[in-house]
Amino acid sequence: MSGQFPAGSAIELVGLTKRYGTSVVVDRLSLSVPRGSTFGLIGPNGAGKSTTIKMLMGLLAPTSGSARVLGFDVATRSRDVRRQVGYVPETHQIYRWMRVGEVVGFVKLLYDSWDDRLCEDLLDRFALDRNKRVKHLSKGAIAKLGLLLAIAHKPEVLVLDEPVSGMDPIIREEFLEGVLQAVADGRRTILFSSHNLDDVRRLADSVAILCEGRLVVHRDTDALLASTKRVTAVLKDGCLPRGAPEGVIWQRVARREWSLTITDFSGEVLGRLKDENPIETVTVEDLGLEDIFKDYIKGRRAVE
Amino acid sequence: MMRSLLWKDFRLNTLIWRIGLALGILPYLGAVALAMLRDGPSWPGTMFWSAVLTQAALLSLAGSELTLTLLGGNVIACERADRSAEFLAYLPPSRAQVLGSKALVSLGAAALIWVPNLLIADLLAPALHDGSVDIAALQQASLRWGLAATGILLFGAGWLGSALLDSPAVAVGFGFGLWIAVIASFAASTNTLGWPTAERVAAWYAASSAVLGALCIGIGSCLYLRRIEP
Repeated sequence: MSGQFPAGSAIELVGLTKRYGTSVVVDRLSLSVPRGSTFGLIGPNGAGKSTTIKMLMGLLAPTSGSARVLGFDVATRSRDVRRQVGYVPETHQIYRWMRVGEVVGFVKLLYDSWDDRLCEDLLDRFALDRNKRVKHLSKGAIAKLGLLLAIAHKPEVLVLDEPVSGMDPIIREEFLEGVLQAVADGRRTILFSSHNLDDVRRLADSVAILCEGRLVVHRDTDALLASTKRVTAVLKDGCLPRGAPEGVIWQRVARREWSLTITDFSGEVLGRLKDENPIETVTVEDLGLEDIFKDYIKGRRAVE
Repeated sequence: MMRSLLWKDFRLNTLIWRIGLALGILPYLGAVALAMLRDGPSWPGTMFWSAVLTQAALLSLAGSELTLTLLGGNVIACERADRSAEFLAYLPPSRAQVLGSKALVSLGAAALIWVPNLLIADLLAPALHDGSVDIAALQQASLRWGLAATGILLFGAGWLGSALLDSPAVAVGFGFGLWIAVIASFAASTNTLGWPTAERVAAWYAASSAVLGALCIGIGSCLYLRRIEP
């Protein structure tokens, strides 16, 4: 099954599906994340991001399909996966009755690869008080403790499930700095999901957009940004568009203004658009990741 | 790895260990109070202590039933209740190691209660005894077997409840519920069918409770090991 993916894949999902009764939460999701890359998983609420990550971590059984991390099948080699993956969940469920020092001591003994020096550095950098109980920590401090526990054993793969949701900008920045530090050697693979597209833009080499459990797009971030354009055409008086070019992910006609978001945009695509439609003027603009994301989702929902 | 898990499981059950310790010691404190009330400043003779320690040991063992039920009911469900089971689930220990640690801590608690009490009842009390009364009658072997079997049933039912449920309180309730159901079944069977006879009912109860308790532990363990979700 792994033969369908490049040999250098750190994470491989093949037809991963999760159903609850008749509701399909993740629908035949297939994708591959190369080793050493940073991959952003984005999607609206309920898109299936957390479910996908939980299946990847072996915390949830898929209805069908398979997931492999570093070549290990999650269903059968879950322990090998857990040894080599650092995971930061959306909601941290660290033992609330333990003190920070106790949590660190507890987790440390579970990993052969635990790095004491890195752990001490992170404790200092995140200003975590070892004597404070987890239940007395702020949400941001718990998230930082979660990140510390996830990276102090020097995992090959780091999985972050909306790790900074609900955090103030300063804590978010500290957290992301920690993540960036973790990937500084360039050997670690990171998969993270987030609603904050600025963070995704900053961190991710490639992004995938999920909508209602389905993969809408999976591309290199820079290529996606470079090739996706918003085209605004003013139609001739009394005319309607005749045909949209290939690669339209979303479009809207408001009076004479025809707005289109086009992926894999090129001069040739623009030429065809002009030739085939009664257009007076046309403007082309770059889009940020947030607009691209919104247009993919709106386009997807309009189709369905 | 096991050291870390054992430490965590011990800490998770600290309150229950304290309850168990209190219930275990209380009968002996009662014995000392009784000696002081009865004989005032003069300390009673060894014969008194032989009889009182035997009874205190039995009471202490009876008190362990509550501790065992609490341990069984708390074993898995307590980490589900506060969702720390999700944290543990993505750490490296296997399910078998997690369960093994829980079983060791529970067995340790049971041994800490039962072994000293049995040593007191079977070694210390007879050593103090001068032969003037029947020590075997005081020791009540069949009652002890009944208590041991009840302990296995209560712990096992709590363990099964804990493997199935998210609430330790409900799991403990399940443990007591199953125990009451077993007693009620034997009472109904003896009274309506005449089987087992009144003389044999205690033996049947002990054997059935021990088997049922062991089955519950086995089923609960399998369910926990096979389940993917925390």
